[in-house]
Amino acid sequence: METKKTTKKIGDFVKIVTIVLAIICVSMISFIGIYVQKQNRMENIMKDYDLAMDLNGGRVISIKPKDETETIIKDAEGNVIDEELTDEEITEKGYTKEEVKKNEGNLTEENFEEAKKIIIKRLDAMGVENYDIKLNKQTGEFTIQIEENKSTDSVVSNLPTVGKFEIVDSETQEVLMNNDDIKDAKVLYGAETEGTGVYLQIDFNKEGKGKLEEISNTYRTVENSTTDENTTEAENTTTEENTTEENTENTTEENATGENAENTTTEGETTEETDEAEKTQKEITMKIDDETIMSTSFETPIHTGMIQLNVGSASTDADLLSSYAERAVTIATVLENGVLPIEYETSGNEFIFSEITTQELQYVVYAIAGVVAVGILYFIIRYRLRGILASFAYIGYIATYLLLIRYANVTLSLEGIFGIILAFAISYVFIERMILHQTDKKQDVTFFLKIIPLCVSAIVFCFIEWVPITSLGMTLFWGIVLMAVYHYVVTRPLISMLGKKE
Amino acid sequence: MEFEKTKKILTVVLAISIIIIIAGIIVVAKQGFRFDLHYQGGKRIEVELGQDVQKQEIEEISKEVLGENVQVQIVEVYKQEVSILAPDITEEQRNAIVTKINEKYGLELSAEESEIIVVPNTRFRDIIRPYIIPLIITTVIILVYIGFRFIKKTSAEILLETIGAITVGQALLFSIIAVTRIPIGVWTLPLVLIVYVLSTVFCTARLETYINLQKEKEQSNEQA
Repeated sequence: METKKTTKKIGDFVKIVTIVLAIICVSMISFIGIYVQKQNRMENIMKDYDLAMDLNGGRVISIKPKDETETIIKDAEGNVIDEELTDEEITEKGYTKEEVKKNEGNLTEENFEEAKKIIIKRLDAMGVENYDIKLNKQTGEFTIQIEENKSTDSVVSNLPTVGKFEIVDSETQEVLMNNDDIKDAKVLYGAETEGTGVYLQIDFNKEGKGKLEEISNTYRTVENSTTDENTTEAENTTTEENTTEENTENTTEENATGENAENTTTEGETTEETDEAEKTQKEITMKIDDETIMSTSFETPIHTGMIQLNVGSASTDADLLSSYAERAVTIATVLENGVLPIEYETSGNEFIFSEITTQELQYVVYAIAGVVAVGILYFIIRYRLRGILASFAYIGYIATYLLLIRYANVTLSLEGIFGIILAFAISYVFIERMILHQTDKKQDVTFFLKIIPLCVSAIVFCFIEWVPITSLGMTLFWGIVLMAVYHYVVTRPLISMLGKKE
Repeated sequence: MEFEKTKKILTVVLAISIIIIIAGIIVVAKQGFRFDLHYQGGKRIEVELGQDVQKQEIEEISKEVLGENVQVQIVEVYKQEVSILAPDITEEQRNAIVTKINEKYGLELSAEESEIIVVPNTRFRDIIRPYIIPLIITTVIILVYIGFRFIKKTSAEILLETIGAITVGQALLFSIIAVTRIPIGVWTLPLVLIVYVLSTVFCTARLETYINLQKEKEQSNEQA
């Protein structure tokens, strides 16, 4: 009987020592790191914390109304003349030429506010999950801070875009459709034989649907005149149109990036050389902010009120597809969120570090460590040996939690830091309850019932697309999950080994 | 008995809270909130030193010229440029800062190269906008939960009490901020969220305690 007791005691002692050693090991990894030699220097191979904009800093972009002027020709009665005329012709006809600021007349507070709404919509649509927008109501200048990541440059380029969408007659430049006809624009993906294809689908409203049907009839591909150029394939930046209805063949392929205008010209020349019949082919040109996106004609009339454009060619390369998707999202965002009432240009674009420095963050860490130390001291003084073991368990919890945060891709913002502090506090209370009511599971149930609103908040916040809120949600979520698992697996057995508290 | 005692304490706390909230409303109506430089905006200059910047040193120089309310941030990853933000920066002040930097680092920077940029303020509604919907969603879910969990006890009173606790918590926080003239800054919204979460936990914890005490009372009555 006595031997059994001694064996149990030794067994418990070994278990306690093992758990304590494991906790020390995890704590060292979490608080100090694992250092390996890399090119004559020691480097910590543990993942670093992913910091949000408020702690790390972000890209600060300034956009201001364009100062550019444009030449306006007016007749004797003051009517604006659209023709392009030489100075001699202007004098001959008695017209006058004026240099007018492009944005003159548009620089009103209402337009600034309208522009702000559109920019916010664009930022939200592009999935920017943390931004700070400031508007100078006197000048209309915006200062926008966004997080620095892979898509930042794409967002920056999108912000000053006016978003003017037009479908014009390639020859006469007559505007056939514009933003007023668009209902929605979205990005779709589809499986093709060569891989995955990225599509930009533009849905038109009732009026636009009618117009599109008419245009697709008027600008129908003339027999034997289908162009199928692959002049830009090498760059893999081709935008091709599926002539809208799902099973219709592509009619034209063309580069959709910056050099659009150039490519259109090239296309014109090639067409001229290759087929005489194409001279009679009527084509439409799709433009965004006066830049040609593509020129095409239609195989069949479109009755569905939508057109689908292939962005790039189908591919299996994830990076390539992601760049196509990014471009498609950019165009879709611009199209569906309205036209900026003012023409903007980027006046500043730089990365500015957070006003909260690493040193200041260290002070916060020291303060938290101080409070934790006081808590541990309280445990030890009040509960003696149980307190010492509970303290070990608590330190182990903190270490595991901090590791989990780093490897669960939690972006830490100030809200996240508050979440961590809250998780520490709840866990502390839970451990104390464990010491006091070791085997009373009813107490645990009551505890968790009391913190249900916290669990609800954590889960809801995890799904909110706003980094500071997500950060709080994620830190709380992992804190609660780990608390439930860790204290049952580690803390309770550790404390229970000492027997019931008298 | 203990629950009744807590209730009395809570009544006192509520009374004090209401006084603070009224004071807060008066202060906000008269003077509004104070914002820190991050949200208030002002004027900013950037100085490119062409060598590693010590933020603290630049901060000291800026404070000498512009006063205590200054925000210094490092610009770009090479950390050789610094941005100085203050409620107002005049040309003389800019020149003084650049001169002092030149003296300190032995540089010959030209003050004219540091353009004074106007930084607009961030509107309060823009600051809180992303937080409104998540808080509404969470509150509704918690109220539904309370409705189901305390189905026997649920009355309009309990739901109102929960909404009241959340509202009073937030109002109290903003009133303290307003009365003490602590500027609204980057720390404010994390505090708002934490106060929100704690007030919901407080409500549920109180109801759970109440139910447990009732159960214990019933059990002791049965035994008696």
